[in-house]
Amino acid sequence: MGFVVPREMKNLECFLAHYLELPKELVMGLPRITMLGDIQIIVENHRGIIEYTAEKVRIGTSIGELHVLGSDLALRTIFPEEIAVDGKIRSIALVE
Amino acid sequence: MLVRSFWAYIFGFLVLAITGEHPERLINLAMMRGVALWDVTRVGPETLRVKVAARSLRPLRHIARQTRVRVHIRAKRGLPFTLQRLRRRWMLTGGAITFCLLLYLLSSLVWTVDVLGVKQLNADRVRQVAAAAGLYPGNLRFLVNSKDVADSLMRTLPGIAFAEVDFWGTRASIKIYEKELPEPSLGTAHIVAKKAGVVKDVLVLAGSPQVKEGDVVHAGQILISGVIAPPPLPKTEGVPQPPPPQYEPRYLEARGIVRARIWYRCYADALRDEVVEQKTGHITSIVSIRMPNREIIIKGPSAVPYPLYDLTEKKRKMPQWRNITLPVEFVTIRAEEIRRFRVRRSYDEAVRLASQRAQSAMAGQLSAQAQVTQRQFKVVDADEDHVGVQLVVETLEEIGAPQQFVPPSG
Repeated sequence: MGFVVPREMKNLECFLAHYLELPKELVMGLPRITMLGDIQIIVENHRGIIEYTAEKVRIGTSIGELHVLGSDLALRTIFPEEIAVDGKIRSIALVE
Repeated sequence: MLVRSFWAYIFGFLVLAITGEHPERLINLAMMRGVALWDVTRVGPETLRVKVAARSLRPLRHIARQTRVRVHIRAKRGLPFTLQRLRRRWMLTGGAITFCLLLYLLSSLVWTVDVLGVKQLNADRVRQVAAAAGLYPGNLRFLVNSKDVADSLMRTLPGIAFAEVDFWGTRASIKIYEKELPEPSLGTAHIVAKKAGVVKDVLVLAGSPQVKEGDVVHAGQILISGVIAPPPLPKTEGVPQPPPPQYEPRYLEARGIVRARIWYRCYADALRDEVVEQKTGHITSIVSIRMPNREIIIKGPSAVPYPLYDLTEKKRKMPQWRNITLPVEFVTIRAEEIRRFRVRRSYDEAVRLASQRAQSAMAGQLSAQAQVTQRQFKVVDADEDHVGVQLVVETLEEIGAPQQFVPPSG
């Protein structure tokens, strides 16, 4: 039996986050993706690195994989709560 | 970021090469176990280069075994490793420390002592006294108390009114202000006229006056004599008198003030039709370094761009050291543009200009304490071309000057 979050519950989370002005990424477990121009991308609330090459970085998140495409990509920092990717970023995509 | 890399440097970090099929697994596992990795870059198809804190190597090796990747240390960086290297090369460290200490020691020595402002005194004598008080070449600068040296100089050398000691790097300079002593007594002296004039008033402090108000005197004439003649014998007739006491004339240094009216004449003329030069206000400055064979222009054009100009040149040389002078000069040239034009003056304008010129020529002749009582301008010659003006100034000034004489002996 899978763990299913009822629709109402999801709405309640959303409701609480909205009305109590709590950070949504904490209440709803969403990744916070910050991009600095095309030279850096910081992902908080991630679930680890799936693939890393100089042209492609795949980062797991609660809503799917985050694909970062570019060149000369480097993982500047890797912490349980935060990953920073440096380099020339061409595209990012969320793949379910 | 900066704070983190600072701590990484302090505690030391390693640059590792990770080789294996799935190095991402190692990254994730390390992250889970709390081993911080940073600056992960891919250098080959199966090789990553990562940086890791030195103390995390052991847990990382454990993870590497689990994920079947190989870990090689490529470089050791940071303070602990640098110190280790330095400990191995202790001569290098010692040399660097010795160099710093030596530099500090040599720069805190007094190398030269300059004596400035001596006129009557001997500079070497000043140096001797200063050396006795601790200021000599070779002494440590912080051992010299400049106030004590100055005090000692003022105490020891009576000719000094004030002394100060300054340090300029390794160079000490002693600045001496000598006492202005009154002129020594001349012994016996007359007061004679410096200039010709008409005596206005005579004030005798010592000596016997030879002139009175209204007298015309010429230069060199005795005004106040240093010889005091014996008083004339009282005239008595008939009554027998005891023989009068024999007075000898007295000789002394005459002192007093003799003021006289003196006239000065001065002539100046002005052309009525003249070409004059005037500065236009355009200035070009050229800064260059001049060497014996060549000149390098730092700023400004290579030549002055005006047809007529007024030039001021300033040269600065490098300071001389011992007897070595560099033949290099810094030259600053300032050229002010000049415009020439013709002026046609009216008679009045020419007279005014000539008067001004006469006035300024006169200012050079008059002494500072001369008091001008009258000033008269007179046009002495005038024609179509020029105007000549004569200025006559009457002044009231002191004309006395002491002149030594030798009293007749016996």
